[in-house]
Amino acid sequence: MSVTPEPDRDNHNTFEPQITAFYCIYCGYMAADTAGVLRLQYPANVTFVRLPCTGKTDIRYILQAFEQGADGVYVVACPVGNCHHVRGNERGYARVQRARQMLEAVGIEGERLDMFFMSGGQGATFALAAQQMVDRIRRLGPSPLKQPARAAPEQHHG
Amino acid sequence: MIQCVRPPGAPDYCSRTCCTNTLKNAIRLKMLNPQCQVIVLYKNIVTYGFREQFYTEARRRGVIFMRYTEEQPPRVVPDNGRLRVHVTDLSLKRPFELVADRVVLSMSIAPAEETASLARLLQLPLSPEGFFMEAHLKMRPMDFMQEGVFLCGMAHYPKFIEESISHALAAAGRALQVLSRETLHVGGVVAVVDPEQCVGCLTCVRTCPFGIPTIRNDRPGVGGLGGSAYIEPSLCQGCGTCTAECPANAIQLLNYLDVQIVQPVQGDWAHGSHLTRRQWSLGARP
Repeated sequence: MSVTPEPDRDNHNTFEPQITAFYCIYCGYMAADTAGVLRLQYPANVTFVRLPCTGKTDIRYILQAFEQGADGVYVVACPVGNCHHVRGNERGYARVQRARQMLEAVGIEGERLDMFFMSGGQGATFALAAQQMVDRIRRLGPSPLKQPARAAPEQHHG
Repeated sequence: MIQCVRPPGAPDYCSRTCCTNTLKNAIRLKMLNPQCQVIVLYKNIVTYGFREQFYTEARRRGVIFMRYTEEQPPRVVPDNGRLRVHVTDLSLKRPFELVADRVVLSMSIAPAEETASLARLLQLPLSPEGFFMEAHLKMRPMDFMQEGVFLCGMAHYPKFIEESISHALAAAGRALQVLSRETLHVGGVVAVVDPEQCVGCLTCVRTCPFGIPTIRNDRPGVGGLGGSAYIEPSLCQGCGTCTAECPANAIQLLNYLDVQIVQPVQGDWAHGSHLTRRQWSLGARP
């Protein structure tokens, strides 16, 4: 269940964030399903990529998502200690943290990448996570990778 | 009869069967000789299910129950061939000295001595108390996460005989599921190592939550040197943790190939996703 997001009235801009979300087929997928069953509304800015477990979250996937034009990326995993593959979500979280450092090193705000832990029944949390990310990215604006005019080399010249 | 006796330092857990056994013995003694005085020192009487009736029956026959606490455990002192038990009753808050002909201890049931080494050998998980741990408390109480290994009875935790029998029947049923088939079909989502890229660094061996990958010398790695990792497809659970952790990117998870995941990010499913598992194992690459 999703709707076309309303334009941002506060900033009077028409920026629509493009967000990539990775979720695992257990809790993440179930939570998305529950959100649908509950007919919860969440923004359509999010593109979902299904993984067998968030332990499969490769740093490359996250970075490539940014490279290919995502303004934000987030990962939805089972609650810590409840991973169906014992510790996949913890390993995924460690990689998200590391990817965050990499992003910050190249001048992309770390906030653009986040991870959410929820169980399959938490449909509302799933919708809220999507809403939170969209709100956050809307506040941060488009990805720095999409704005060559404001990139670091220019500042060096100035 | 003293309940909840365990060696110093042993983990504290309920052994489930001892209260019922103590009550059964107490009732038996009273049946044989109603004059016999039976005193049960306990922390908490736990008579599972309808066994609660034994407690009522024991009380009706005049068995005395005295509750002690963890802080003031009973002390047994020998005295001229007899035994004296010093105990403080919780409800009366008074010390008692009981002279006993027999002191019966309900010792905690410990896991079998070889449990830990067997668990290491088969790479099976143990509970904090040292018993084998099932895959899921309610959904799969007779299974391990490792395929093809099952458990039942006291290896799991202390159980009554009828519980052990039901558990054993369940485990046998599960084993028959495997044995009754000519061929086994395993899930298509398994990790596959490309030996030509594998340097045998052991990362996957250490990463796998189920301990499936092994380094095999009969599978030469990069440049035909050393061994490369091998992941047994019938054991692989398909979580993909090794694929993401592999520094050489030598492992791919079928149905979740890199090209299948990265392309959708771009919004283009066409490229690479047509490869089937068979084509991939035959060496086809996008």
